[in-house]
Amino acid sequence: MPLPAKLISEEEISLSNSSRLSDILDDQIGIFIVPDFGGGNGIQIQGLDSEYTLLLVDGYPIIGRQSGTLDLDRIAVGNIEKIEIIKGSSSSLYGTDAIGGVVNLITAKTDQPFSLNSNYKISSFNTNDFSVNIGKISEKGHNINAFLNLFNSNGYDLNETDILNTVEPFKNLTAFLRHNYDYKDLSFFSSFRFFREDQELRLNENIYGNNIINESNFNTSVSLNKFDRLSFVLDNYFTRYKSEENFSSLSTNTPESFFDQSLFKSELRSIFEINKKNKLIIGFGITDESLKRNNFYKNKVTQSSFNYFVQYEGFIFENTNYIFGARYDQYDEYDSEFSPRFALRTQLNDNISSKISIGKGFKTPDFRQLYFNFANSSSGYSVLGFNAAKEIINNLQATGQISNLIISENEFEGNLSPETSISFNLGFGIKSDNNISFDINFFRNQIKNLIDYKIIATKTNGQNIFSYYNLNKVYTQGLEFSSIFNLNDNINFKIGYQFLDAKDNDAIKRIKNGDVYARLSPNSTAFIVKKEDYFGLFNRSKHNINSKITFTTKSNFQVYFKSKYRSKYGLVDKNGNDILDEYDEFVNSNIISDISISKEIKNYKITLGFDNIFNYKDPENLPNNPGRIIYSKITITL
Amino acid sequence: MRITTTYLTIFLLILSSCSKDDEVQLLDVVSERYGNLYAPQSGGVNPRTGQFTPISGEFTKFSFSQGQVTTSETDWDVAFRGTAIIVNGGESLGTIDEPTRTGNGAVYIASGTMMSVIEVNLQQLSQDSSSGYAVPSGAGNGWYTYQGPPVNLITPTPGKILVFRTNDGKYAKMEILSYYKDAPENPDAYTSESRYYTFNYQYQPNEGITNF
Repeated sequence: MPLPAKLISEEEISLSNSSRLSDILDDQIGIFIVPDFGGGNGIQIQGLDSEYTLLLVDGYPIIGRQSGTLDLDRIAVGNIEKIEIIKGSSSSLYGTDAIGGVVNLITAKTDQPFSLNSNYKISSFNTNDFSVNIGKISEKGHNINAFLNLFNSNGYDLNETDILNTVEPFKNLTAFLRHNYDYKDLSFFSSFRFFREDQELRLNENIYGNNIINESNFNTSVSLNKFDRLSFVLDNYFTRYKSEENFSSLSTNTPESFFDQSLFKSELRSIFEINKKNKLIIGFGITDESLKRNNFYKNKVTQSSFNYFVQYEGFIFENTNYIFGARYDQYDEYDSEFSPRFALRTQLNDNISSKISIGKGFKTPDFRQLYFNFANSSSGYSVLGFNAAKEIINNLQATGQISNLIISENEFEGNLSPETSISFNLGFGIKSDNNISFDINFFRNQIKNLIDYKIIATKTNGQNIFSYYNLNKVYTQGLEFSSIFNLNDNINFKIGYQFLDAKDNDAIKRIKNGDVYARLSPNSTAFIVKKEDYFGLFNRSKHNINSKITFTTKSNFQVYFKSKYRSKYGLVDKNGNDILDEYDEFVNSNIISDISISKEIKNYKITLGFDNIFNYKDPENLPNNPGRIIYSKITITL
Repeated sequence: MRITTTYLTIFLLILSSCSKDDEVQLLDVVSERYGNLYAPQSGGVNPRTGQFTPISGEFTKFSFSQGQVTTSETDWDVAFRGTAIIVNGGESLGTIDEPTRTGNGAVYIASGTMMSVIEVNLQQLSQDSSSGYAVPSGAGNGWYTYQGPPVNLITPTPGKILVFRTNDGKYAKMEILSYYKDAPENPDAYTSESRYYTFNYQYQPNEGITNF
């Protein structure tokens, strides 16, 4: 495939001994799992945030980004056969959100009349994790796979001084069922996924309750292969994500938050195989989305869009194949988007191949950026969505609550534009005969129309009102290097490195003009920030190193050791100049290492492991790191 | 020849002494730091309940010519209450306990450092009015930024120099350094006492001179 893609195999998934997608992806070079302030652990790919990555299960999108971040702890991987990660913009195929990359989980489909795999893992903080996966092919050819995961934990607390826990106790359940059946010229594929989580919730001594998430996904897909070189696929998909807080001690000042999102997608595509090597795909689709949530300007917001796409896969020479794709997404609320992509791969000789890819990506404004109507009860500021701002400000002005309108009236007009990116990737793969391979990839993503909030007015209580605007231009660029080395049959090394440079173009310009100031300490006078003092975007490390060593003996005894290094990064602008510079505070560089030892006896496998063996902790900056974890796991395969 | 030289010498002497008489004895520009100017307020948003009650309390007044806090009702240039900064010029916004403006003071916020802001831009000076203060209120608009939860810190924005016309028409500039008592190295919104201003200022005591 000519795209900058990476495949995580079932073997690697099982080696990590975790059932959560967040842990699996965290092991990958250039991917960071970043805790979000609003809760949840999101993904950062090529220096781009979770909001800019699309997560798919068998090609169908997962929704429920309550504060932009898609929480990867929600996704169980016990039934996942492989994970495809495509880096860089892929909106030509997938439409909105595919800016930083696309993560596609492919669920397992059994190839045996009957298969069973089950495991149980117990770990620190009274965490229990049970999975069972059953596959069956009936005599009539129905292929059925069922999966169940039960997960519960007492959570943990990194700050003993208050009554709140860092992670409150929770339990969740994931169920998945898939069915494949071929009948004459038709193939059917349908699946159903269900997730439910119940987590305790505590705001203070008097206000407590729980937070419940219910998520379901249902798809059916029919392909018609009646014609010689032409086939048709019709996909229908429905998903709903619902999260609600319930306080058992209801206080009048604490509204219970809720979030109820649903999405329907229908797509028809035709695949025409011109010859063995050239293929043309043409299709169109429709998407319907709706959201109800608290702090919203409208009770329910909806959006429909149409899309049309074409993709051509072919060969130029014997050794060079390419993909050209383009997609048009049509929206009512904002500009429609045209997203092309071109990718090419050349096998230069037996050992060296090269890939190049250039494409456009986009992300439509989310409902929050359009319809938010939020007032912070403790400090009194407000955040309004772009489409809601004009009317709310007018009402506040009429009742004399605005002391100062900072933006001009005409800034309320028009629409928020989608955020767009141009992404470029150039990679080389080198394989030598003696069990060594190298991959290197250079990337650059230039993003414009980035949506951020700015102050639009001041209230008579002295507090600000913010709203969302297309403000910034940022870029992320760097290189990724990975290498696999098999020392002998028993020992295998994997090493990866990413260099990342992620900056705000406007900040660079402001620094060049001498408009950015900093001070060393509150006692010293301010000075002009120099170009080399600018560190870049928040929460981005320049260097990331991963290493994995697997040692396997003939008697099925295995040791797996992995380490992840992350160089220093900054989370907050401490000196009030809006940018992260060398005079701000940084999170120290850190290394986290895990080890596991396992032994296979017939159908059983027993594992003992330590995550974060050196017990690295940073409660203030890394609330998603509980410190050292000890676990034990037993797996049965039939 | 000799006489000519003598005359010339006398002439030069007269000339030089005359010019010495013409020259006004200029006062030196005052450069000082003022620490812990306490500017309490009552009311505002109660962080526990979220209830807003109107802000009240006396403003703490400061006079550049005296170089200190003053309770004078007329001889003051700038006054502080919480994060609000007013000048002795223009009209009252009409909040509770707000002093009457008796002078011709004015202010603007310049971008730069104490070193780089050397000339007063007279066109930018503005006075308080019934619709708002000349130093805009709210984080990010005026002299400070606010880091939201969990930090909750008020930080004077670096590169903001407040340029004043005093109540009697002279000029001064000010760089606010800290909003917390004793200007701690690492202020903590939960333990450091707030509403204590520390600032550097320069005061041009000479009438009509607009540079420092």
